[in-house]
Formats: sequence, C-alpha cells, structure tokens
Amino acid sequence: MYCYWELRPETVEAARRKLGADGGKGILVLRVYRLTPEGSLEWKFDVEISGQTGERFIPIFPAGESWSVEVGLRTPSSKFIPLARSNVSQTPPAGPIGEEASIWVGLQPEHRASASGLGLKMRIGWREHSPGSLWGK
Amino acid sequence: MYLPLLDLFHRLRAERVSFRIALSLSPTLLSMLADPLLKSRYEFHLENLIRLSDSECRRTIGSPVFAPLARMYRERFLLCRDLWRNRFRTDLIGAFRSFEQTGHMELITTAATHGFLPLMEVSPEAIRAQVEVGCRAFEEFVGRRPDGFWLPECGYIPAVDQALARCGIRYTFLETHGIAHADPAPPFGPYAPIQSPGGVVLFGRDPETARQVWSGVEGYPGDSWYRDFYRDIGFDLDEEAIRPFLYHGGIRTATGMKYYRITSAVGQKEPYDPGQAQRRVQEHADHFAAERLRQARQLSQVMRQPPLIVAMYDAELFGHWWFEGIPWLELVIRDMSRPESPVRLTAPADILRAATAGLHRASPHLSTWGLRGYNEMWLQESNASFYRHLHQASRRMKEVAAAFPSADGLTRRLLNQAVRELLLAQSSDWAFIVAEKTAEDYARWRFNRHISRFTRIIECVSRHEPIDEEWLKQAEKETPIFPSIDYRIYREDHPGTPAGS
Repeated sequence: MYCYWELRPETVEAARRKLGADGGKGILVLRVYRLTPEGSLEWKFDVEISGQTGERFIPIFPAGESWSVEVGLRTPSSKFIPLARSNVSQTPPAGPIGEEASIWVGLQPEHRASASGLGLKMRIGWREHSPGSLWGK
Repeated sequence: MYLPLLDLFHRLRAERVSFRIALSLSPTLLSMLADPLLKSRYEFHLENLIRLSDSECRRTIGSPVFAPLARMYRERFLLCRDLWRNRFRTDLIGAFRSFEQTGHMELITTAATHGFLPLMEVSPEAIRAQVEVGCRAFEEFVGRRPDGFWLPECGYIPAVDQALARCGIRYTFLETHGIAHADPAPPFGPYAPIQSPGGVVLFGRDPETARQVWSGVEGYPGDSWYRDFYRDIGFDLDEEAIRPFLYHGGIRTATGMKYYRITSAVGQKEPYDPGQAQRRVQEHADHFAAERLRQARQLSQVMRQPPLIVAMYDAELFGHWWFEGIPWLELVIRDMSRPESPVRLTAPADILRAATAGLHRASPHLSTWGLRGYNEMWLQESNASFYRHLHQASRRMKEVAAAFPSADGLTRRLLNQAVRELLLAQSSDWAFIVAEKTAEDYARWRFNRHISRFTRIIECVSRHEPIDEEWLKQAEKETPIFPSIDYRIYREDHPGTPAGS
C-alpha cells in the first residue's frame, strides 16, 4: 500500500499545543486501520515517519480486506491526534468471490464432474512476473 | 507500423475474406496520424530509409547471407512508400474508417492520453475527463461516438464503470481476473461477457491466447528462428557508414533494418533466414488455430451458449516487436474466416446483438494487466512520486473550473491549456518508462514540464495575475492535441455526452 502526505507546519504545531505538556515529545506516525465487515475502523499498527511531507510503501496484508491510514501525532503516553485520513484501499482477493480458489469454466454444478474430467479447472491468480516474460503491458 | 497492417487488411478485403476484428484507435494516435508536421516528417523518414537500404544493398553486394536481407528491407520500404502515397494517400484514419464501413472492422477508442485510470480514484472528475475527452477526439476524427472503449493497461475500478456509462460507452475489456473475481462470480468466467452495475458490457481476456503470444518463454514471438528486434544496423554499422542516415546530430538509433534472428538468449546471434521463419509462422498459425478449436470444443461441452475467446493484442506487436506477426495474423485470419471453420472471428457489436438471453450482472474487481495484475507496474518505488502531483493538479483543476463557470478570451485559452497539460501529465507512459528504465530522463522531463506549465497557469488564473501571451502561444504550439478541448469538463455539472447524441 502506497501512502503520501503533506502537512502544513501550522497544523502540526496546533496539534502539539492541543496535546499540552506531552505535545512537544509527540512524533508523527501513520496509523494503519483495517475496515471491519461492519464498516468501523480497527487499529492494527503504527508506522513512525519523519517529515511533514513524505511517502511510504507499507507492505500489507491479508487478501480481500479494506484498509485506511491516518497521519497524526502520537505522544509517549500514546495519545494520538489524527491530522489527515486516507481514502479506503482494498487488497486483492485470494480467489473468486463466493467460490473455491479455482473457478470452473461452466460453473453449473451439474457440469463440474465433466469439466473436471476435461481438465477445465482454471486457476485465476496473480500472474507472477518472470524476467523473460514479455508482459511489459 | 500501421501500413503493413493496413496492407494486410486491404489484401484480405480485396480477396473477399470475411474477417471481423475490433481495433482501438487512441486519441493520441489519431492526432498524430492527422498531424501535417508528422506526416511530412514521415515522408522524410521513408525517403531516408530507402536511401539507407540502397546503401546497404551496395555495401552487402556479394554476401550471400546479407545481400538478400538488404534487398528484402529495400522492397519493404518501397512498398510502404507506395502504400503511404498512392494506396492510402497519407490518410490512414480514412483507411481504418473504410474497413469499418465495409464491415470488416469495429473501431473503438481509449482514454484521452492513455491515463492510468485506477490511480485516479481520488479524483473522479479526472477519470471522467480522460474518458470524455477521448470519446470526443474519436468523434472528431472518425465521425461518430465510440461504442467501445479500451481501458488503458486494462485498468479497472468501479469509478471507471460510472464514467464509461455516463459517456454512453456500451462495452469494454477487462483482464481475466477482473471478470473471474467479479461479485457474484460469473458462471462462465471470461468466456461470456457480463454486464457491470452501470450497464456496460465487459469482455474478459482469455489467458491462453494471451500466453501463447505474449509469454517470453512459451510465446511464438520468442522463437529462435524469428527476427531479433534488438540487433539493428543503427547500432551495428561503423560510425562512418551509418552517420549520413541518423537524425538529431548523429545519435545512434534503431533503423528497422535487422539482420539477425533471435537464435538463443545467450551467445552469438545467427543471420536471419526468412524462409525458415516463414515455416515457423505456418506452424505457429496452425498451432494457434488447433488450440482454439480444442479450447472451443472443451468449453462448448460445459457451456449452454457458444463460448467467446477474447484475444487482445497491441497493434504494435504485429510487424514491430514481432516482425513475423503480420504473416502469422494473416494465416490465422484466413483460417478462421473459412465458411467451414468451427471457430469464427467476431467483433463485440456482433456479440451484443446476439446476446438476447441477457447477460450475467456482476461487479468486476479492481484489475490491470502487467506485473502481478494490480497496478504494480504503474505504482512502484521508482514512479510513485508522480501521483501526489497528479492528484493535487486534478483537485486544483476542479476548484478553478468551479470558480470560472464561463471564462472567455485569454482566461479560457489558459484554462483549456491547463486541462491539456494535465491530461498529458496523466499519460501512463511516463510511469511505465520510469519503471522500465528505458528513457527515464525523458519521461521525467515530460512529466515535470506538463505539471510545471499546469501549475504556472493555475497560479496565474487563480490570483488574476497577468500571463505572457507569447508563453501561452508557445505551450499551445508544442501541444497541438485536443484543439477543441473545453476546461469545463472538470466542472461537476458537466454532462457526459451519451452515444448517438
């Protein structure tokens, strides 16, 4: 997942003041949330960042889930003030939705046995990149 | 590149071969094909190639291996000049249209500057502008609104569906997993079109026909007897021999004259043998046809409707990257156009007309082609920094368009140029070139140039500051694409123009 952010210095300073005595020791973090099936945000982990302008690739995560990120100030006592929130991003699914990991060409249940016999089981997955591949596009 | 392809279609039509294909003509290609400056440069380029091949015929005289190859290229260049000047009279758009008029071809288009739409999700107006400006450009050149739309890099997200529907697009194409991962799962995978929530018909790419042509390991173009793309006399000849034919102050570049075959991945290349290559073309065409028949028979046993195998290829593959691609395509078309052929060529409009039973409705998943199938070629460490600028520029364009509901005079020209610069900055080519490290400096230079000109215009207009009109004239002259663009495409109240209106 790719994140970028730009914060105005006055926005960060205002947040520090709001945090009171702890504010000066606050550090900028990316707070990563998973979106639950009910639509609420579940905090998963923080990524410490430096700079009010920056970018970061965050290696995630389980397939078929929705994620969102806040950039904000976190104090040593774990108080957190969000300063900006990202859009929601989805990770690719592991396989066809509502089916097994493979799809069957001609998915009608009565046809599956014959399809199996014909070797029509087709795995749809993420195409691996091989150095010799012409998959430039 | 398009002349040999058009020549093939012309010969097939003259012989009354009843083929059907769909072809996407991008707005950028249409603009270049119609551009007088590029046409005159092409004339010059053709003459230069003919002079080069003359020189090569003299240089290789007495060589039983290379002299026939030099003559082959000379004949090809002379044929191209004849096609360009006499048969198509420098009007290749007219040539493509004629194939549509005779029912052999279905012309579709793509996004204005081949912008990578999935990464514009945060700016729906940017997606809409890419789609609508592309459709309008197509209409200006071809004379009608497009029914079909090629998604740049096969990139799909739900917001794309809305933009296509709003612009009256009837069908588009997705990478296999976009269909296979749709919700609910389509019963026949990519072998039957489905309908999106917006009502757009979606055709899924067949992975087998893709692999047989595109794979560097299994694909036909990688055959050892085929011509090697990279060994070119532009790089191989002595400086003295090639210098008179080089442009741009003598920088070595590919000329199209290539004397060697692929041979193997490592080691010495052997000279190209057109006879052996032609034999492999026949074998590969036969293999392709046999595989489609096998595939169709297997699918027919489990499907209640005729299976559809959607084979999608870049036009530049045929004759450019894959020298033997055009004779291969000719054999495949001839074979599948036989009245008795069990596998027939068809085009999307035919499928839409025949889909009387209704189509499976499903929401496709985010998908692209290329590295691992989810944006990765166009968003990685090397090129990610482009997107903050593109997103910010789209937001600013939207704000300024909202603030100027009906600008006129110089302000209107400025805002139109701002949209033009933004569209050009959005081209997927820049991120792709940077990722591939092919002409990275040029790609970054182009991107920065468009974004900086865009920013200068927007700052001036928003602050009501004067701008040098000569500077604007120069920017317009450098970017003659989309002469009738209207910046109000970035206004929320801008209506998409439905097909047929």
